[in-house]
Amino acid sequence: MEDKKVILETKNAYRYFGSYAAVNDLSFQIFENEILGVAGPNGSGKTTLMNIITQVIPPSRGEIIFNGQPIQNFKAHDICHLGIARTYQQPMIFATLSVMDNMMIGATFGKKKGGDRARIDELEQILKFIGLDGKKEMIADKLLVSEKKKLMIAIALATKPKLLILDEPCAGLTTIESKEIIQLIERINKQGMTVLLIEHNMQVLMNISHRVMIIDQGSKMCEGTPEYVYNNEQVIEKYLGRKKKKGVDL
Amino acid sequence: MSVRSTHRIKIIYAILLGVFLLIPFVVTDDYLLHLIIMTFVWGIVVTNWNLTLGYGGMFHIAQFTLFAIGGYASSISADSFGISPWLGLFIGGFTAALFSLVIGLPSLRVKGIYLILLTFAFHFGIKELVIIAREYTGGSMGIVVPSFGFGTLFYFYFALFLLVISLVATRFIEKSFIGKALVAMRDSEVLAASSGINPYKYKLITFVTAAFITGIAGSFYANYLMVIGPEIFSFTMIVNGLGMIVIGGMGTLFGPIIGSFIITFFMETFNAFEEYRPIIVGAVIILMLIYAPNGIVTEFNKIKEKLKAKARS
Repeated sequence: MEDKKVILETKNAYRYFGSYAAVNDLSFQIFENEILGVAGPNGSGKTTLMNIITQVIPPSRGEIIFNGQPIQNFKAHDICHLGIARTYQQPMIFATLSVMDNMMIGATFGKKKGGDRARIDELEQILKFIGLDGKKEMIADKLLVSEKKKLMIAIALATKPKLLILDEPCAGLTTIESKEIIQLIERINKQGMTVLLIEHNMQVLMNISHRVMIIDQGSKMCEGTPEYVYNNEQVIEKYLGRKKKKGVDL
Repeated sequence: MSVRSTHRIKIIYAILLGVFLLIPFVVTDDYLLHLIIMTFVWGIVVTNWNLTLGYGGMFHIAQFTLFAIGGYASSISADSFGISPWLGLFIGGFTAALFSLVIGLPSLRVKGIYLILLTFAFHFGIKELVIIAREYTGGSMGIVVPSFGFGTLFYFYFALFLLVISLVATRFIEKSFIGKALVAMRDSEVLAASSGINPYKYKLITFVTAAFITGIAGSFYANYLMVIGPEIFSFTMIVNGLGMIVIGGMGTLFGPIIGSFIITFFMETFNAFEEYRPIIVGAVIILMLIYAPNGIVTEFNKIKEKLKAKARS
């Protein structure tokens, strides 16, 4: 994996809330076309890390580099224009707009030169890919939670990103719905998209990710292949809470 | 929306415009005509306020500041520099737009209570400046403004023209990519920014555009009444304006105009109870917020949808 091109990296990133460091001297890299899974206990700083990458909140210190360009001083919309799209843990959609208009927002404003150049046929293809093709005229607020989560992914894809950040896409979903989302993420990745995935469910994360990073108290605890992370003593002790076993028993 | 229903709506708009154009031929009472002209003026002010507040989700109270700035700018240009009232209309519009930049550049970076407080500070700060600069503004007495030199009929049609311009501009913005950005920001500003929308830019564009038309309305108001004074900055004006939007329907095209008709004629009906009118308007706003928070137009649309659904079933 190391010979691959680095698409995003953080160098000694910090984010303070008062004196508390929610992200604490965190450095990591994500390579092109991979799925990097990020896990950690509640309050470990996973979402804060995603928020500082996408400038929902700015980092307090450190560097964030996307495709060789420092982006820590950019605004959230500039980050999107560069090619980083994201979803949120809670279903966040444009509630009063139709499903198609939700995607139109991403397609229209996702690139620097805004305007009404979005191609309906392209958006329809994304909807079909996502599995919402029968609901394009529906007002987004009336969708089910799982559909809202899919729509968030569709909006992100409509911006034509190079890196897709997914913040707990399976949170609040049933097992069947989660499976659908996981399959969707795999299909998205197979199309060449780099994915940074936060997921609480370790089983999901280990199965889908090429590499996994565990963070705790804002710092990186461990990083490597799913097998390596799953068998890491520190991870077992602090996060998985099970006795060490030989091999991966997922 | 189907082609047929779009066509039907266009016909309804044409009929409505026709009805308004015929009003001076039916209403012969000059005072009633004056009230209708004032309704149009408030209609312009609140339509543009609704553009920023209802569509853009910017809860600011600078609308009457910009209205007053437009009025004062054209009045001062006529009174102190002898500039034609016609040119004064544009001077009013441009001055209000310029001040909207001064107000908007710092204020639109914040939201909620902070935006209210900042625009509140600008509003009363500018009011004090107007009173202090009495050499140009006439201080607390205000200034007498030269009129266009035409009769009531001219003012009626000109006010109606400005109102139609406001509605067309609102509809145009609503349908344009700026309108889409505004609605997206209103639904979720965080997601809008993550989807590539620069919230600050689109808020500022809308704020300045609305200020330009509001400034022209302020100029028209001063020329029509032939006087402008600091009472235009009163808190009652702000409450009435908000009442028009809330009662009519925030974020709807015609709601604020319906609200301006209701409030203007309501205020006139209770003319004898002048001191209590703001209390009554406040109470009506509270009741509306409790029982019909989306305003008359939205409630009407809801009933229409229900009846349609019933007819279908």
